[in-house]
Amino acid sequence: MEILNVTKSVKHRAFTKRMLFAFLGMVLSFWLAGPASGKPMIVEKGVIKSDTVWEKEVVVRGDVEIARGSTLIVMPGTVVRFVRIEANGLADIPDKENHFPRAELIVRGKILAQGTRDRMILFTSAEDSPHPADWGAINLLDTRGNILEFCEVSYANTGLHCHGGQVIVANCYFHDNGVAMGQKNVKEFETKCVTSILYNRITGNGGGVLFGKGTSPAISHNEISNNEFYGIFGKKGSVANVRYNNVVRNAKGIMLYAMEGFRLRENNISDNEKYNISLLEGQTWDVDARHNWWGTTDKEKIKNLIWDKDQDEALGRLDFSDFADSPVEGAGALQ
Amino acid sequence: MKKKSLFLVVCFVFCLFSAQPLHCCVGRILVVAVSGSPEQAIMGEMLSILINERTGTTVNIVEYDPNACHEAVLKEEADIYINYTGVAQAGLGGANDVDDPLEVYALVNQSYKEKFGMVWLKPFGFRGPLTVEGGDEEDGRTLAAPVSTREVLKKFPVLDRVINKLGGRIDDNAMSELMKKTENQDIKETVREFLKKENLI
Repeated sequence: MEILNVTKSVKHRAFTKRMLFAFLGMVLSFWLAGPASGKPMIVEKGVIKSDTVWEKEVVVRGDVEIARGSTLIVMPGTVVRFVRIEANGLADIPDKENHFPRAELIVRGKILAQGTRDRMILFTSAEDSPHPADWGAINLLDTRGNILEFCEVSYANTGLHCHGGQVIVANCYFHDNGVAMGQKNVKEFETKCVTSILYNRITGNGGGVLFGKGTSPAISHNEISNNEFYGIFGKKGSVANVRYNNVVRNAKGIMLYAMEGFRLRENNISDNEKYNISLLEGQTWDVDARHNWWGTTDKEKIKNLIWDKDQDEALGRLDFSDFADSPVEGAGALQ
Repeated sequence: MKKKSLFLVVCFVFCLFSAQPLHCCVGRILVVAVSGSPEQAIMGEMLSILINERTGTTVNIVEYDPNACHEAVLKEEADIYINYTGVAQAGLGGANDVDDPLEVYALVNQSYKEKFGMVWLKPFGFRGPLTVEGGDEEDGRTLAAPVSTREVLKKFPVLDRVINKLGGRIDDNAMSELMKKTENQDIKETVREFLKKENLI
């Protein structure tokens, strides 16, 4: 009897053990067969009201807002794909000044998207044949303390859009967007735009970096190249510090409109198709652009790729004196 | 590479265009309304390239029936169109006894301001048709000029200055030369060459 009981007990324990292993195996297999190897996490249109982590694969199917007070953490290696929704179809937002027709990630709380050099975070279109503007933007509205690091952003209307937002954008890669980054301050938001744009590759977009209305970005050590319309476009009321960038092979390297404070030093600005720098109508202030490399030491050749007071008396003058006699070392993004 | 570039240009314009109804800060879009005549096509491109190059604003050209351009601007579907002093004078129903083209220009400009809130910018220099009825144009001495609204000019503060740079630069000879060139050459390329030669872009 005792033996039987012992046998029963041993059998029972073995059974329990097998069940436990089976259960653990099931849990493990579910964990392993999660989004990375199978189904992505689907995020429908809505508001994220608590701290949230995104990892592996995420598909966004409409405007998603991170509410004030909440933080979205995006883990290294995460792929976030935005479904191309009907223009304005799902965007039921009355505040049209600050939004886009297609799906966007609206950040009123905070986003911390920090990949690594080997495991970048991807924000892109969910389409099989993606196009620029398949989705709206990572859209920062009246928010502080945001970080995008080692992220790849592609096929957005505006990759990173900022109305009154504070963000560090470092070591990211923006390509095939309508505009890579756009920012301005708006009256209704208390937060003013403060952006540090460092060590990024901004290449093959419609436009590169656009800023206006009271913004003061620091733009350093970026590769800004092959953008179809412009590399950098500074507009009225903004102040920018632009140093140690490569601004090359864009249609126009830099365009300026009504900017009073623009510091442009120690950059390589060359081989832009139409002009290396074009002062637009309304840019009546002079621009200090000394100590840059223009691709040549021939003053006439440098001048030929600049549009300023010499072409139009109403414009300011671009001072390119004391130009570098060879490419500025250390400029551009880290490889 | 070229294909990719063209694709990106199209997509960039598309994405700005699709953003238009929402007025995102990425870029405002201007619409130039043109009718189907060769002069209008050339001047539409001329305005589009000049405005884009000198202000960074994206410009779309939309074709309308000759009589519908004015309405399109009035309804705010378009921002600028090209009108002729003779056509405008006839439309206003009077003052045909005034022969001096500049006087006619001043009169229609004043009337358009009062009646439609529209502003006539500097005449380009070439002669346009005297009347436009059902698409049939009758020649005469009448000045072609860009017309926009006070609202648009307020919204785009340097627009009038940029457009006025074309004032008096395209006389009849220049226009016929441009038209001749566009028979064998892309219209955009032709216009861009002209603007470059005139040191306007």
